[in-house]
Amino acid sequence: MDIEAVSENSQIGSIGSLLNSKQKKRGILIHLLQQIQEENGYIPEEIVKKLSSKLSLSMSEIFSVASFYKMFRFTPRGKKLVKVCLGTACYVRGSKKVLNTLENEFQIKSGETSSDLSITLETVGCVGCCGLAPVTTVNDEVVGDITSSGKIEGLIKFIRKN
Amino acid sequence: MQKLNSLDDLKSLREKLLKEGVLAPNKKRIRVCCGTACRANNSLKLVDKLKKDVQTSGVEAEIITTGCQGLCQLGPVVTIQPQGYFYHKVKPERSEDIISFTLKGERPVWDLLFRRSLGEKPAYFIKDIPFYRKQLRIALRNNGRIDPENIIHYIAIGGYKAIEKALASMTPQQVLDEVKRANLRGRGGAGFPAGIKWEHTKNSFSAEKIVIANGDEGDPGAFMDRSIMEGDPHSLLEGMMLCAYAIGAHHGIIYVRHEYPLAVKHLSTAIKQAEEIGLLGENILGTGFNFTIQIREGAGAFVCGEATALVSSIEGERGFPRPRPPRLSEKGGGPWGYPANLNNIETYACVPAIIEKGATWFLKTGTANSPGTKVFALTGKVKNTGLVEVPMGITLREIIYDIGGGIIGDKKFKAVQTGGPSGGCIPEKYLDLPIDFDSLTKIGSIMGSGGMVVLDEDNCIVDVAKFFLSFCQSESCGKCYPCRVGTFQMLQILEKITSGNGEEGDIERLEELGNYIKSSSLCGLGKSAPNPVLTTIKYFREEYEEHIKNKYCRAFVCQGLGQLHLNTDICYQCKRCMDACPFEAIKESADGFFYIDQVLCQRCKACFNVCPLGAIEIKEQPILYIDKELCYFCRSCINVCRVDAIKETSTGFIIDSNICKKCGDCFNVCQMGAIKYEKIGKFLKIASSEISYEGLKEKEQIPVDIPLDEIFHDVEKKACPVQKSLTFIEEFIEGPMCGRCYPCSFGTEEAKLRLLRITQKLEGAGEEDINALKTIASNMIEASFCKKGRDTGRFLSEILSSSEEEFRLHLSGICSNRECITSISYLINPDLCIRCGECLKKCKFEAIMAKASESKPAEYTYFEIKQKVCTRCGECIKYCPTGAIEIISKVKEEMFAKT
Repeated sequence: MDIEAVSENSQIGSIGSLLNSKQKKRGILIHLLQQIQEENGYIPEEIVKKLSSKLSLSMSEIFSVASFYKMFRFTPRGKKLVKVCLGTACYVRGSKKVLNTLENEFQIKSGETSSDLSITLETVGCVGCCGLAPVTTVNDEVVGDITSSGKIEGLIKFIRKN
Repeated sequence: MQKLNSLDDLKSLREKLLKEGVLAPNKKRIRVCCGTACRANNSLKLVDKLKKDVQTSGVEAEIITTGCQGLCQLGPVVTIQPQGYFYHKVKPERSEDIISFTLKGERPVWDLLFRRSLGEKPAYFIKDIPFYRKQLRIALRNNGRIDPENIIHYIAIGGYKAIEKALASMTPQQVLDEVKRANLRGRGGAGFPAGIKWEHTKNSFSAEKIVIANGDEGDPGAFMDRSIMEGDPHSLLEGMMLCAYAIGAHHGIIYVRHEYPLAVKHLSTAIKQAEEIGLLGENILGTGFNFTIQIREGAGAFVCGEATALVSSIEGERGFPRPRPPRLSEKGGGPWGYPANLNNIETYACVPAIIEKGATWFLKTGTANSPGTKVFALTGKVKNTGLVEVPMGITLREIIYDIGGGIIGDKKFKAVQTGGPSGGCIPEKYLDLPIDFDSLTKIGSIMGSGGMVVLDEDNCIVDVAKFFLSFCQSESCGKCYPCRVGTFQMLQILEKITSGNGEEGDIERLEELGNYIKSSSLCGLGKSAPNPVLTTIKYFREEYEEHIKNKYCRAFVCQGLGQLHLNTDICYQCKRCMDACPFEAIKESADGFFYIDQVLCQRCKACFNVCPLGAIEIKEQPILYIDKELCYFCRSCINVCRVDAIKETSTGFIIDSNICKKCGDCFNVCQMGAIKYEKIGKFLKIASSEISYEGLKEKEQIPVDIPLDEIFHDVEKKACPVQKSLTFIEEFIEGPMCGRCYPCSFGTEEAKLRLLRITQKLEGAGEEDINALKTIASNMIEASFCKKGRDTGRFLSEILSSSEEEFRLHLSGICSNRECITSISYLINPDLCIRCGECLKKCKFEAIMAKASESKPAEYTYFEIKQKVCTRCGECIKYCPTGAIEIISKVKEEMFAKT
């Protein structure tokens, strides 16, 4: 993504007519960070540098915003992003066990990425599939009802695939 | 798509669509739910397959991908028109069956119909299913009926009629009044009337106002907003348009969680379509009303669901809340200082129905103070989970048992958690309470966004409270102390309680902290974070106490609590528990059974989870204590205790229950039965299973009548008076001693020590020992309770007075009867010894040796006793045929040596 070519007005949308240039720059920050993360899988420091000069915000300000939100990460993530839901409904139906099994299986802790960058294991508050609890997402694909027999092995196989 | 330039255009478009038969009820149509849950169950593949099969079969039928139809657990769900059959759990390979049976043959596919159990008749239609029967859909009115990505469907079903009506015949003030009259309360949690909020914003001094829809639905266990955004995005847009028209705003923002990618996709499609057709943008339908809507994606912060934090996030700052006033609806309160009206998604979705049908219609449903309906996300341990929209005033029992179908596995209901992490747990006694905003607040919970998580007896209430608190703790933004530090401290205390280290006073500390946090936090997150803990303490206090005092978790959830036992009647020794145990606490006993070594067991419950038969049982920990009436300080329990839990104090021994692992070793070793265990009776009634403590059995009562005759009989065999009294005392202590009174229990013990000193001529033994014995004897005669004690004292006194000289002789190391082994030694008299070697063979201690003498011939061997090894057991004397082994007094020997 070419930071230099980003147009503030098109990013901020029609509400930009109410705002001055400083407010516009600030207003598109989170939106831009999301796009950067989507493209790279994480937020590299070089791009933050470019962003800093583009938006006239200091790097520390950008990092302060980015580090507040759980979504943003500053290290590369694995090819498969596995998120185990620890929402209430999943928790009471045993998602902690699912997490432990995956941690043991791939020898990484929650929040870590395996050394060969093949998998990142994370937890998530709720993905809104409480009807299928316990739920795990693999690269935005939802796998539900894991505790029923054979499903966890299927999930591990599914993650291992490719 | 042709742009609509006037209100008449919209009207004629709708008429045209109806004439064309868009969504006409008599046409063949398959509605496949493509909500997130059904997508996870392959509903997209089903749609592809259906489309392909319909084409090849040549049947004319429309396939619609709809938003969430509600019954998420049984997905993918499919409804068929015109008959209205409802199918559940439809796999892609069943598409041919649906086409051939239902579309061509016009009869249902039997096994896809919903039935509660195998024995019951299937439900053909959606209205026959108990899950839907009690529901009334206002906010979700179009969900599951239309394709959310097609604006034509929405218009055909009567969408945008409300904005049409408002623009054509109502002034902004009339729209506002109608909403106010309907008393529509905010569905996001607090239940603030939407109309009043709109009025505030309308009256604020600013030319520009902003309409914000809060779709940052972060509560775990709630997904009603998501379902509306995914399944019926246009009704949200219409609701926002009506609000904008009423308050005079031109810009709208929908703030959506980034975890909802499908919602973002459907909303963007809807906005794009609405702009194309002329329902959003400038000069809408030629009326001069301008309104645009944008989507802002959140970035994963729960606190951004709070209004002021959400505004910070929209502005591109950290999502910190700020103190109010200014409120959002005032100048300087909203984003970039513009006043803003912020409502929940569900609130906006209700508005079009109110405007179209009128406030009077809306007021007919629900209760007096909370009219309308509420969408709940029913999840947890109920049979049917999913989205339910019910009129206010329905009871929890109706929701859980009639709609939800009861608890999974027909277990016992424990509590229902409403309102997400900020809500509270409602116990069974309030199941029949009609629920609305006010009644829930009254019992300490909140309506919240509508999450409803049902807990059964297998859920530990303390653990659940800990879970919610840890959620709030990790989501705390960290701006104000009470929330940041307070929730952390509360979590630490809960952690302590659930790991078995709870102390008295912890509950009070939790309550105190919770109330501080509630009263002093800045934003709604902190103000409500202690709610789950406080309500569970209020309604389930005994469960907290059970964790703290009894170290027992009745749901078997918390690690480190309770005591694990292996039931040997069930166990078939598959050794799975042995493999699973990380502490090697499961051992095999000498008789071949497995048991759990309580000292090593860390109560991790790995064995409990792995056992296929349920042979591992978790029971309440007993409390072991020493009965001081019975204990006579033999110290055998101290010696056997592996964790040093038995402490010696000035008043006796005590068991430190904090250290004690309740292994029962001391119980088994104590001969007096002085160690007892107690099952705490107060909680015994509540715990489901009877608690027994294996390995500990009630000991027999101590016989009151002590047979002294047997002892006298033994004593008669001895000749030495010191040995006589020692034998008597030892026998007396060894066997039947109750230990109840001091002269006897202490006295005999001391007498034994004194006598040992005398017979063994230990260092320091002297005249005072004999005097002390006399005192003991007289004390026992005078002060013992029972005859036996007095008899013992009498015996001691008699023997002392009759042979005091003999006692004194012992002090100088001489036993005239040659019985006290320390004062004697054995000697082989070479003159009598015939060197038969009999003694050599019999000696167990190899104390006798045969050695050749240099001065004598080789065959002439010489037998000798090694004095240091010899124990004077007397065995060799018995077997010597010639009586060559003589007993001599050590003292005399020394005297000879001197002379």
